[in-house]
Formats: sequence, C-alpha cells, structure tokens
Amino acid sequence: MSFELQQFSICLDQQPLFQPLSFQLAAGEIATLMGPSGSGKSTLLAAICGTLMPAFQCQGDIRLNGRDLTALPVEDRGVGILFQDDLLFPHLDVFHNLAFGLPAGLSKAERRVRIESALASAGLEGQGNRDVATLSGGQRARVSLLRTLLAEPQLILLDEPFAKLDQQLRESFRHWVFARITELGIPALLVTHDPSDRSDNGPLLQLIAPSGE
Amino acid sequence: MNSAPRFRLSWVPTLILAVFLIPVSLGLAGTWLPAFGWFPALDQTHFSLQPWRELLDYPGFIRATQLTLITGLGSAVLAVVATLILLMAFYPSSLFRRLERWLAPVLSVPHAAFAIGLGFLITPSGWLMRLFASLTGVPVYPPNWLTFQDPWGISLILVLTLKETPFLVFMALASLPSLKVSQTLWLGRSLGYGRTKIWLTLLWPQLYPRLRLPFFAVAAYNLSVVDLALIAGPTTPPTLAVLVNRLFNDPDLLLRLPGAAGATALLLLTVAVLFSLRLSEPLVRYWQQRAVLNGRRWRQALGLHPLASSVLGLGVVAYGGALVVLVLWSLAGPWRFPDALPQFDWSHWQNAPRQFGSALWLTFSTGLCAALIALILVIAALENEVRLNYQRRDFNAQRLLWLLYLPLLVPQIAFLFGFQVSLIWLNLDRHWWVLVWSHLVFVLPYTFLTLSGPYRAFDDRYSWLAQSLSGSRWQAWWRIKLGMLWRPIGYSLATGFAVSVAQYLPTLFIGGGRFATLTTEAVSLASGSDRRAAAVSALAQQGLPLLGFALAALVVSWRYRRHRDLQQGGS
Repeated sequence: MSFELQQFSICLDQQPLFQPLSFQLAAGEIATLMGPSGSGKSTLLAAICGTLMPAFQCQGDIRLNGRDLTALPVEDRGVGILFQDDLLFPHLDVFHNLAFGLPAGLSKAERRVRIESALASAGLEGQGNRDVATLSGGQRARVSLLRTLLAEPQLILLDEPFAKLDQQLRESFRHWVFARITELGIPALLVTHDPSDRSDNGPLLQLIAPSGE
Repeated sequence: MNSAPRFRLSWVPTLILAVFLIPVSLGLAGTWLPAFGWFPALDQTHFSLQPWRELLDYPGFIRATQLTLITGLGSAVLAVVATLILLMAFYPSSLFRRLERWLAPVLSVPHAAFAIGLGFLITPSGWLMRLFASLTGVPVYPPNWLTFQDPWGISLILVLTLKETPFLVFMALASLPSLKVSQTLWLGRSLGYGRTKIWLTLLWPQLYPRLRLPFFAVAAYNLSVVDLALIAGPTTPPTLAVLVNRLFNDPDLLLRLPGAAGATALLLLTVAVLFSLRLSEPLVRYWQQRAVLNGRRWRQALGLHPLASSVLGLGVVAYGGALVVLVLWSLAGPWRFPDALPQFDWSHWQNAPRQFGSALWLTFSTGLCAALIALILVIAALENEVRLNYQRRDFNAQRLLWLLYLPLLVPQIAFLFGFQVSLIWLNLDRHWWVLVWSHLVFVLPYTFLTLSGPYRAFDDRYSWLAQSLSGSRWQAWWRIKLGMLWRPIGYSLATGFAVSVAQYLPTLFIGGGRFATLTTEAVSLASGSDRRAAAVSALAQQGLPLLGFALAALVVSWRYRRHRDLQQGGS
C-alpha cells in the first residue's frame, strides 16, 4: 500500500496555486498538510479525490498502489474522504448509512456482522436503527468515519475533520481516528489549520506559494 | 468494483427543446398561413390580406383589442404592484412565513374554478349581497348592477390580479434569500431610511431582473387568457382572445381565416406589450437613481401597512369566500335571493360520478402522465447540468431559461389552432398521447421552475462521498441524491399535475373538442344556468390538484417519519 504525488501542481488561469509538490506515503502513514487559508489545500484534496472543477488544470502524477489516478472518475479511485461536516445521509438511519459504505456482494448476515462490529468499535452497540439526527456531535463524527472505512478505501483524505468539534471531543476523536487508520494499514492525508492535530506517524507537508510573489 | 453503466444525458436538452419547439413552431406556421389566405383544407390557396380585412371589419374587433390591453396589461401591472406592496410590508416576518405555507394550495386553485367561485360571490345575486341583504333587510331583490362580467372588464382584472399575485410572490420568494433582505433593511435603517425607500431603491432593483420573466409570462397570459375571460370577462364584445376563439369555433368554417389573423394580431400585441415593458424599464431605473440621490429618508410609511393588509384581506376573502360559496352551491337545493344559506340537498353530488366520472378519469390520467414525463425530463436535464458543471468551463444555465419560458410567453391561442391544423394534416389528431404532449408543453416549464432551485442547491459533497463509498454513480444518485430530494420532487410533481388539470385551450383544441376534462366541463357549465352543476364541477376541478399536493405531502412525511432533519421545513 503506498500513495505518491510526483511534481504535482494545480493551475488556475495559467497561474500555479503552489510550488510543485512531491511526497510518498507508506501503508499506515498519516501525512499532515498545513498551510494558510487560500493556499490550495482543499483544491489539492479535490484533485486527489477527483472532484476538481474544470477551471483548474493539474500537472504531475497521482499514484495509488501503482495506479495512476488522474484519469479515473471519483467512484473508481478507491479514495475515501472525511469532511469537516459529517454529511451523514439524513434520510437513512445509522445502520443504512453504514451499509451504504459496504462493498457489494456480501451476504445479509455478513453485512450485519460487519456493521455491528463497526458500531461496537465506536461504542455505539445496538444503535443501528437510530435516526442520525438524534446522535450527538461526537457520535455523528464517529459514524461518519466508520462509513468511510467500511468502504475499504485504499487511501483516506481527512479535510479538517476535527475543526467543528469542541476541544475535549476533538482530542479523543483524533486519537480514535488515527488508531483506526493505523489498524487498517492504509495511507492517509490530513489537512488542518491546527498544529496540535498533527500526526506523529508521517511527514509534515507545507504548500509553498509559487515563487515570484 | 461495482461499475454501473454511465448514463448519457447530453440528449436531454435537445429532447426538451423538441417537446417545446415542435408544437410551437408547427402551430405558429399553421396559424400564420391561414392568416394570409392559405388554407388548403377549405380550398383557400391564394395568399392575400383578405382575412385581415375581414378581421378589422368584424363587429367589436377594435373594442375587443382595447379591452384586451386594459385587462391584460392592467392586471399584470396590478399583480406586480400588489406583490411589491406585500413584500415591502411583510417580508421578512412570521406572518410571511405563515403565508408561504398557504401558497401551494392557493397556487393549485385552477383559474376556472376560482373565477366561477368568485362570480358566485360578487354577482348582484351573489353570496356577499345575500349576506348583506339577510342582515339588513335591503334590498329585497338583487340590484340591477353589473358587478361581474361587466363591459369594462373590471371583474376580469380583479380575477386575474388575484390569481397571478400569488404566483409572483412565489417566484419572488425563490430569489429573496440571495438578496440578504434583512441585512439590507438593517443597513438602510441605520442610515436613517424608511422601509419603503429601502425596498424601492435598494431591494426592488435587484429583485426585478429575477422577476422579469415570470412577470412577462403573467402579462402574456393575462393578455391571451380564454377560460377566465369566458367566465369573468365582458361578453359583447369580449376580449380579443375570446373573440378569436369564437371565430375558430364558428359553424361558418371560413371564419377560421380571420380567426387566424386575429390570433396572429394577439401575438403581435403581446410582443409589442412585452417590448414596451422592457423599454420602459430604464425610465423606472432613472426614477430610482434620482430617488437614491435626493437623500430623502421617507421615514413615514404612508399607509403601507393598512394598504398591504387590505390587499391581503381581499385575497383571503376572495379565495376563502370562493371556496365556501362553491361548497354551498354544490349542496344547494332551493336558494331564494335574500337567504344567507340554501336548503341543503345532496343530489348533485350523488349525480356527480355519472356526470363527471369519465372527465375525472381523463383529467387524472392525462395530468399524471404529463407530470411524470415532465419530472423525468427535468431531473435528467438538471443532472446533465450538474455533470456539465464539472466538465465544461463555459457552461451557462441561465441561457436555458428564456427557452423554457417560451411556451409561457407565446399566447396559447396563437399556436394551438395551427398545431391542431397540423395534427389533422399529419393524421395525428384525436390521439390521447397528443393531448398529453400538448399539456407537457406547459407542464414542463413549471416543473422546471419548482424543482431547479432545490436540485441545484443540493450539496455536491454528498454525491462525491456517496460515489466514493459505493463505487457507483447510479447508486449515489438514486439512493442518496434522489433519496434526499423527495420533498421538492413530490412538490414539483404535484405542481405539474395541477398545471395539467387547469389546462383549457389545449384540451379544447387537440382532438377538436372530443376530449372532455373537468376543466372544459367547468368552463362550459359556468356559462349555463345550472349553478349547482357548475359548483360541483368547479369543486372537482379544484379538489383534484389539492388532493395531489396533499398526497405528495403525506407520502413525503411518511417516508421521512423517522428522519427528523428532513421533516417539515427541509428544502
């Protein structure tokens, strides 16, 4: 399992947003990407996950386990993403939110087992039939990550997922997220404003403004 | 990975254009040729101006044209003014939020049913006079006044204004959130300005460009309406649209030629009115600029609230009273003049299934089919738009809007006759699906108008997330996006159904009168002497769309009963 960017840059109207970026992540490594607002962090995540607006052009390679991602649509990339908002589907209960992430072709029993054990790992045993609107902020955040992990992504992008949580919750959720990712053994890329969010197990990356400004 | 087939949607806009443009262009051509003497079906094969001469000589033509201008333009302008007054006085407020909830049922009232009810309310022998007479004892006989179908078109203006104001308010509500009304009012007040001045100089100039197309559609509709003018308009002479309709249905077939000329004249009149409205906009802007510069604060509201309250009160009395009086007449046995209430008699409703059963079924099936087809096309077009957003930089959704409004800006009678003639010529008339098609021309724009806002406002991150989770674009779209959009989808389906139910002219023209819906029944009964049958048919016509809205709301609440975030108030 490895993820790699090579001389990767994004241009808007021929103007590069940041200096070409190169890095490599091994399985279980969590890179931390920092930089001021407007430096292009979210745009970079959109490029990796495949949702970049057509006004932007990319250069360079994005490789995940040897595959080049640049030409693939979102659904074929195998890249999971966790946003600042939990984006739980409001018209599905907890169980079905999680089931939506599961791969196709599992038996009914297998689905139930996987979801129940995922819920148990988050301290949410037997809460499958709850309306997501009744969950607390911390529970929502955990369900959101579980859903992403159940889809068995080969890379996970974390777009400031701790920013909207209060200080206490933030720390415990962060530990829990890092532990789950390390356990699964996939590379991850975390975007954050807050230096204390930084993971110890992986490089610290900075987006550098293009020279000449 | 589960890779579902990727559906190609790029053909959808073309298909929608075809749905619109074929009837409109066939219809216009099929009207213009007879207007200039070419009508092979009646052995008229020489181009000439004879139909126009006949039209000009036709008794009442000039007066009918004047009446059309006065009623059509007058009611459209009054509707805009009423909308502005309501917004100025009440938006944003809790009263307005309550009003918003009533908009859907009010908008779903078909024109014909509303006009019939209002007629029963305000004629000299109507319910208002009866209430007055039974309370005071005078007069003993219905007075000899002309309060409905008056020769000056006042009752027609009243009905049209009352019917179109809620539509304009509805369209304004779609744009208002992006105008930051509360902040602007707050800012303006902190500079010492009064509410009226802030609205007229700061908010209305931003709102009007977004309201222009709906306003023009209302003007075009009011200039050319037939069913309402038959019920509430003057009779000798009637408005131009009714006069043309008469010519088209005259036993003397040759009168179809001046009829076609009249329909074309109405089109020209409409185009001229819309152009002059557009050209007069700089004048209003000039006045607004001066009002900005003069610095007067207008802190006194000058009777804005009483005025707005009376507009609102008039609307409530008209819609509420029309409904109540229809119910009373549908249950009425003998009802002598000064009595406030009739002697009740159920027999009209007992006869109703026999009398209106087949019309009800045709109305229902046509409306449901048209609404469903429109919904599928509109969703496909909107989804295509989302994809284009991510594929092309130069994509501009606004250009589509003018095309969508086209069938609402062209007078129906200016192309329906020609469409009918073309269908006969192609041997396609009298098919039920052609009726559905003709309704679809008008259902599509309204379906698009009601669904496009919520569909475009959908947070795309849900789609990306769902795509990356399920590995399937189809699953993400079907189970997540549509799953979350049940409420607006149900609402626009009900709207499409209501629009179809209310169609009068298309039903009349397609198949040459062989299709009888609740609307054609109600209009023809309205001019008859049997008030009870007219009331039953009007109530059935009004009830069907209302049932549609109620059912849509019910199904949606049931679907989301366990999902608090999507219950009432969600988009």
